[in-house]
Amino acid sequence: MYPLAFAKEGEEVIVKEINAGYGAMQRLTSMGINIGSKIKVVRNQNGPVIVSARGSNIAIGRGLAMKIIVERENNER
Amino acid sequence: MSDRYEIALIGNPNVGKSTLFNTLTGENVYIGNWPGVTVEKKEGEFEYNGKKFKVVDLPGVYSLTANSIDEIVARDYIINEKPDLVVDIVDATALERNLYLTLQLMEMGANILLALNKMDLARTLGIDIDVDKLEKILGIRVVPISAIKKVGIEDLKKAISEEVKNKRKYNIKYPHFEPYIKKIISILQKDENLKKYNLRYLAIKLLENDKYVEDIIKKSKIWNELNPVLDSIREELSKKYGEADLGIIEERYKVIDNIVKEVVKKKSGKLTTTQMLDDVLTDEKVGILLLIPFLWMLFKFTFDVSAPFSAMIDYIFSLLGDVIKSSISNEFIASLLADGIIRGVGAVLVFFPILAFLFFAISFLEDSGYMARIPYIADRFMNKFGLPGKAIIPLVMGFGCNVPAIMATRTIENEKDRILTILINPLMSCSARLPIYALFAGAFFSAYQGLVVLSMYALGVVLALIIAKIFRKFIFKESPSYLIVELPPYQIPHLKVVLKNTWERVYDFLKKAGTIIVFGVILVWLLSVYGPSGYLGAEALTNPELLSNSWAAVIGKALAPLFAPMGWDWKACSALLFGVIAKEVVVGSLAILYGVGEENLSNIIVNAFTPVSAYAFMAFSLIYLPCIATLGVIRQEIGWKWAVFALAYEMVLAYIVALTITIIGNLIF
Repeated sequence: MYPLAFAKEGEEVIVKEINAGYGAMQRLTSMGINIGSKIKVVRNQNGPVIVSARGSNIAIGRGLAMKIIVERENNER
Repeated sequence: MSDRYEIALIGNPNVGKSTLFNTLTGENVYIGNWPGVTVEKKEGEFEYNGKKFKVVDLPGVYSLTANSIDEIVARDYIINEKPDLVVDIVDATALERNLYLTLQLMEMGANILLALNKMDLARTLGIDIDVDKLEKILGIRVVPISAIKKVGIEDLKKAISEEVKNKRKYNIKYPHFEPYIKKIISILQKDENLKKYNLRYLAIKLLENDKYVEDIIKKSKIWNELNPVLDSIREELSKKYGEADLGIIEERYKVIDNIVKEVVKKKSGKLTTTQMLDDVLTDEKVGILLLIPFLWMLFKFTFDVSAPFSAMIDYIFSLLGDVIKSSISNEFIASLLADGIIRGVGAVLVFFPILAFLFFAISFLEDSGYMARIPYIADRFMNKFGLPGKAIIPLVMGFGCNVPAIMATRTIENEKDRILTILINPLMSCSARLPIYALFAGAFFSAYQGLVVLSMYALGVVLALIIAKIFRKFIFKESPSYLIVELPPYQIPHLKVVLKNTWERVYDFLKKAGTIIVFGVILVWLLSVYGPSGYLGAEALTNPELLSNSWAAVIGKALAPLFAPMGWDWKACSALLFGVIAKEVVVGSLAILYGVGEENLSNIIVNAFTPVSAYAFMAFSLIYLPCIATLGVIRQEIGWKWAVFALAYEMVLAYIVALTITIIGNLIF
């Protein structure tokens, strides 16, 4: 398990923890990123991380991406 | 007789809600504000089969958990106004995420109809949705449409007219939570006063730790009975899920996953245009390199294309002023009309083309999908100064004109972030300040003219970033809210949508900021034609001898000692006072006060200023109070209190900077 900010581009991960405040967490979950959801890292350079979750692309500020703990999907090709 | 119904449109951002609203209601649109907040409220109307439907456009929201003003507005409306029907617009290409809001609406017990938008796009992406099955599982009428292509609109109207009468009950069950919900409802039932609410909704919200609902229940007589029960349930849930509210969220998504599994079939999609464009446009290095020309284009388009129109309006109004002066014999009334009222209205209307072109360009970028990417690219840099990524657009716009720039902050959701972004905006050197720089740089620094002018712009940017950092630290103590933004697919903008958005925003400005500008111009006129000795005559505006007896001169003279360290005379101070109307007026006022034409002005000021005092004057002009239009728009957006604050801090800052330049300058030269 590691923060989303450290995930590689193209990686598919499962969200394990969201250690952000109530507001940020509610906002993430309402946009389709909740604990247990599978997300794909579309872009991760130095700025915010872009993930694909439930059919849409969402940019997440780097600070927040440090607080989202993810785990690599096991059944990779 | 005609039946009247009220229906509401709701949906996630970017689902095509405004397009559908426009298609349904046509031209009859009323724009106002939701009570107590600055969120825009749009209402329209349409008729179908002799029935009249009032359509209320709710803000675009992802959920109804009351995290933002938008969500509170939408939730309160549905709970309190109880519309006959809520049309939930759902993006067929992202059904999973969109259904989250749908489930919440069902929890509230609202009468819902699902408009499944972007069906055509879903098909091209290889997404196949079984509409009948979806209808059956949810127990809600589902109408597939394409708002952009106007497909299925008649079907939708028909469905709306049928569903307004069928008040349905839904049966979405949350298997792991039903026992708890039932238990809570059995207690809630005992209070007759709670009957006006949907008890199931109250129960779910209590499990979710919703403050708003908790406050309602705390006033009820059953609170004492409910509280211990609720505590034990919450404890049980937090053992299982970490937090009780996380449990509900997880459960909602489980239900959604099951629905999606049943109704959506996905063939392997191909690489979309969006993916291809994003590979380039959101790249760390290329993205920034491309952002700069995009912003430059936005800037150039707005101010260059609008310039001839503004000049035309300016010309027409000065012509109108001349006509009135020559045709009305009463000199006082003629001057009040021409130099006060007409000039004031003109001052408002010259903004009209600038705003129209700016908002056209912004609406265009918004509709194309690129706008959502700009904060993403700028987020890291802006965060260093305590600003959110979204602040980039207003700041760049400020180089043109602070008025539309401040209006462009509306995309920033967090109130503190938004206030901060607005407060520093006047420091971005708008185009109206250029004539002042040009005059002084030409007169004193002709060899380095360009560099000196550029240094003013740089000074503005540096000050804005420093002030942002200071205000963030001492006034808005929390760090800027995290960027969480959806990057919608790119699309070719729809001219009709863009034009409509443009017009609504411009109209808003003319209506609200307009009055304060007209008032300000009339005030300055009064100060010029009246003096301690009474009415001086309209001639004062062109005659330096007379003007030196006016209140404007009196104020300038009173201020002069304060600015004596910088070496400015009272005429310079009075000119600054006139700059309140618009900063370019400073130049014209200097010409009047020194009694020369603008073309000879530079010869005069070479004697009245030294290079150091001239440079300090330029810097002061850059920073000191925002012009009346900017002040008006700050008040409109965040209220008097902040407008006064902006005025005060800028005056102080301007004085400090001008004094520093004078001291350092005199040490060196």
